[in-house]
Amino acid sequence: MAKTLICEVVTPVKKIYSAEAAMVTAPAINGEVGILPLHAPYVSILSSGEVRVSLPDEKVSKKFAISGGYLEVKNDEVIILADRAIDLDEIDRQAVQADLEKIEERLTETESGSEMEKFLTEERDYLKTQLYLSE
Amino acid sequence: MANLRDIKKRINSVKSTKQITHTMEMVSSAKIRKATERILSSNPYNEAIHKMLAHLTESEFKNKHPLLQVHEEHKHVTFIIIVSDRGLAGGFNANILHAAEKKYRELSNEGLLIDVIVAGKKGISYFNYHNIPTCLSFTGLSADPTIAEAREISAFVRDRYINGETDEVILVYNHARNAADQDLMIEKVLPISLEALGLDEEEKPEFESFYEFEPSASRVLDVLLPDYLDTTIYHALIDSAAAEQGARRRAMKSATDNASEIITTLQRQYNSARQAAITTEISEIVGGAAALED
Repeated sequence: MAKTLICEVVTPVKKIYSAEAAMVTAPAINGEVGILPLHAPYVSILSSGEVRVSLPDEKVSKKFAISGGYLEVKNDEVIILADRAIDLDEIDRQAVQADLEKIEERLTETESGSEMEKFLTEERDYLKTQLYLSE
Repeated sequence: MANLRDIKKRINSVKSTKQITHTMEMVSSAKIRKATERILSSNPYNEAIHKMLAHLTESEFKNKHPLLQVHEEHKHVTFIIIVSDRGLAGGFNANILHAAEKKYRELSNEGLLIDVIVAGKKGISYFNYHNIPTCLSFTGLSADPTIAEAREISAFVRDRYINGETDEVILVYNHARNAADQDLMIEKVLPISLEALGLDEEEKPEFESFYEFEPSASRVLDVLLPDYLDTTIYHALIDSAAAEQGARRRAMKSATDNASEIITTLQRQYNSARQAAITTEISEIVGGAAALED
């Protein structure tokens, strides 16, 4: 049997996913990277986008929308530390759309240059990523 | 002999107090579960970022990121003090505030300048009362701390540290050791030190130098360190939130127990007073009847 990877997707709030995988693709800051078993130890900053986890012995793959974070590869373990992450199958487009409007509204009320504004902007971009990826 | 009606009144008032404390105890029990779950589910991220940073600083410590650098002058200290918005939690707030104030006096006697950041209404009113100025305060965190708020605190101290406005940042909060006990924690969060990462000898990876970094080790460190600080503060906030519920449940449980005890004593007094009244009445009747017979 071919070697596999252990893949984990964690966010500050909770561990989203943990399973064996044949390959993991993630949006590294300088372009997408694909991690196969026996990869050298590796650390990268991730930008927002899609993480794909190809499951062993199956054609389908698990997909996640993330907004920034880190990727660490070591001893066939891939850890994705995402600021935010969600399973693409769990995205409720209507709810996301509604959240997006709320955030846009709050953004207009927040003073510019504050940490809150930065946070809300990230939140907005994340929601947009979700919408884009779930199309 | 105490008046029957007065005793009855007191029993009723203690009973209604007991009802309230008992309800608060139940509410806290339910909240502890939620708060503990929140800590547990945030642990994997915390550990992973810890480890990753430990690996990185091993190889990249020399590059002297501003957040890792110990300032030569040590004049400004910033305290981040985390307490709760609500009282009735036993010694939860008092412990922290007394410890923080003691430390504050100690350091200001040494001639250090101290800034205080406080989260929680109880802390704000305490420092107001003791005439200690606070430079940043938050409320509404103890019920449901969010990452956004943690980042606000973190960004504030980070900027000050980098600009040289503060030379040390100390975090004071309650750690929930378990559902019943809290530990007072005084932690230095800035400058970030290797010791604070708590890297054991055996945990150190063997192939350290083989790590590849994208885009570069120092760039990764640049973003990882602020994130690490965010995580540390967020973790302290949720830890303190869990500790608060634990402390409140314990305090309310003993209040409920005490109320039950008082009710038992009062009930006895009530019964004996009533019995005394009946006895007096009977002897009066008997006495009256005997007088008629004569």
